[in-house]
Amino acid sequence: MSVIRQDDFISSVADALQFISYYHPIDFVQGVHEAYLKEQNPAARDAMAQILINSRMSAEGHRPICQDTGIVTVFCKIGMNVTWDAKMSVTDMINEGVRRAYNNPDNVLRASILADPAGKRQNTKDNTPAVIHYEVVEGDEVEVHIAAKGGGSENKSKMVMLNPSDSIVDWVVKTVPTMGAGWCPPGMLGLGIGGTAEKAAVLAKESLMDPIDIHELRERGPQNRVEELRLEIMDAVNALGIGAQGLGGLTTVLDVKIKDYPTHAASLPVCMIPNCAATRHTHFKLNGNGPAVLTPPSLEDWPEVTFEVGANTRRVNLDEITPEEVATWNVGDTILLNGKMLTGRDAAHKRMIEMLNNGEQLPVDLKGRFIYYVGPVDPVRDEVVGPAGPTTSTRMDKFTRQILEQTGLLGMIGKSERGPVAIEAIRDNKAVYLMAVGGAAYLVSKAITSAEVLAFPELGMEAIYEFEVKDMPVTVAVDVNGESVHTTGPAKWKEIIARSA
Amino acid sequence: MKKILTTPIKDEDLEDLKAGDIVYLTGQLVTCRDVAHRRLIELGRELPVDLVGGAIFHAGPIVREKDDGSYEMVSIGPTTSMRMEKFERHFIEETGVKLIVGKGGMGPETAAGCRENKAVHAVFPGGCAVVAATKVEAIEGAEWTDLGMPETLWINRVREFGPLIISIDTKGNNIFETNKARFNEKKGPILEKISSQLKFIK
Ligand code: SF4
Repeated sequence: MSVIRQDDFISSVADALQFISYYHPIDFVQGVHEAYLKEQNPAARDAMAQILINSRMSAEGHRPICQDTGIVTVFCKIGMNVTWDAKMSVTDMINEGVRRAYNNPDNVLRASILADPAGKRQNTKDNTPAVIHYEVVEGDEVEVHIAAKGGGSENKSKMVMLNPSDSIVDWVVKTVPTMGAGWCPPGMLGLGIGGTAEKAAVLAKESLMDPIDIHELRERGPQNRVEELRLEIMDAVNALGIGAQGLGGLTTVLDVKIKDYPTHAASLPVCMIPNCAATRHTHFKLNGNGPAVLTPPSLEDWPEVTFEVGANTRRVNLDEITPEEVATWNVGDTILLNGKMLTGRDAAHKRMIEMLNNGEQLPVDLKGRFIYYVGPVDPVRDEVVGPAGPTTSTRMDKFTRQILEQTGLLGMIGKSERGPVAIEAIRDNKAVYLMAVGGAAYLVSKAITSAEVLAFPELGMEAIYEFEVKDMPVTVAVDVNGESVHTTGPAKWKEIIARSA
Repeated sequence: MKKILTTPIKDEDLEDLKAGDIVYLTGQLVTCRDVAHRRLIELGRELPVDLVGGAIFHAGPIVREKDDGSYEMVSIGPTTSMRMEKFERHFIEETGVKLIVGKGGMGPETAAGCRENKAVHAVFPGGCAVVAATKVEAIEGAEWTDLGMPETLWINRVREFGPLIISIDTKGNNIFETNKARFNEKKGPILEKISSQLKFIK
């Protein structure tokens, strides 16, 4: 019989969350590196280089891989012979661990959890509560798998109740293109098959707690239907040519994970949850001998990748930018931004639209300027700003036409694709949309040399800042003619892959 | 007057039936659902029961095996017919089945099959499985028992089994499709009203 002490349990949870906020699992780093070496589309290769450099920098600097530090998800297996030396419930202890981890002054993580989701949507300020799944098992240990799941990728989860005679592969291949690039590929797909609706969803999430091992599987050969399916789905999805960040390319997924469970004769529930570039999870066991010990990886495990300034890369000074210069940019070009830009995301946009509708003057003049869709993490120590990767741009689509037409904004920077309404507005106004790599948040923050709040300070991370940047890498995603790299890129690479098959 | 169909069912028996009519069945009713359809259509295996002029039931019943080895129907209700949609047109053509009983509507493929081969689809109200069991006089056989209780082809002798509401008639009229169109018409104004009330959500 083992006795688990309250403090050991809480500090293990807190340590694990800090640990995964800056250490990618090494199998994931290796997976991205392999894909990087193999990639033939320069834009997708650049994106993966940024992800790898960002990953190493985060590990070195102990700062979050991505500015979205996720919603905490826990799978907790409690041995039946365990007793607790604790005053709090297990759930309360886990949440206390979350609280400590996210408010750790050495590495503050972004609190992204909102209570009253259908109403006030108020930030709980400490990223609690976690989503916890319990299982009571034999034995005298407590085993915890813990993850911090990004909102961008969680939002692209899909669920279906198939007919038993339907093809799961067909459904996945049909569904993945509808997910866009907001889930920050390359990543993993987790599938839960069988059980009931909620069981399939939990299985899908749990499957993502396992390390990448598809290469070993391919080498030894599949031994059952689930293993066959993993390979079939992986190959079929990669043949779509979506590529890193949706720019088009050879690798969209690094692995496909599946967990299954017996189901009803009439049913075939399937849930698919993507995991993003910021794949963050680890696990530990407690058996009464103190808190968990998490061994940090060695920096030598990270490949030496450098970001090459290639032939199609140009440096741009935002302080002198003109519409004429912007008109010469082509989709897929890599640009290094320098100078001053503004920031703003959901709440700031909503405010600006309200002010425009009321005929009020905006607190910031947007004419001829660029706005970056971002909600950075708070800085620590001497940092100018915490990790500051882009947020999903499509949420701003419905505001875009009005902002462009009424303010003269010239460019936008964000994550992944734009929808048709935004693309038309960009074309009609000869504006431009640039894409920063989702998940390369710490790297981007290092390009920011100063940050100052210009308006709406009460919105916290959603306020309008002015950033001064030096060589911030972005890709032209929608040009002044309304061409979108997220349409042309995957289409082109799908064809290239089909031809070479 | 109660309209009663008796197996074997002839084309003339079905000619005047219209979607929405209510009928009853006397004679043989064979349970036949997912795997049986797949075995016939996908795997090309011959059905172990002759269905020419026959009736099938999309159902997975509860059956009790008695001490003497015979079977007793405990509970039998319909399962969702739509899962069989992609097989049914072929199934009708291959088997000569005339009456398909199930739950919920079926789609255009089945409607085409009904039109081409003069068959009908009918629904038995879901959730009335014990009532249905009382209309089963005897279980005369069981085929493909390897599929387990829900999927076995149970050959039932039934008397005035029903009410069966015709959902697709021999002209291919489909009551569920017609209704869907009507409901959709109503949807527009309702949506408009809700959207105007929910504008405040980001
Ligand atoms: S990598 Fe992308 S999806 Fe994942 S947490 Fe970061 S921004 Fe969100």
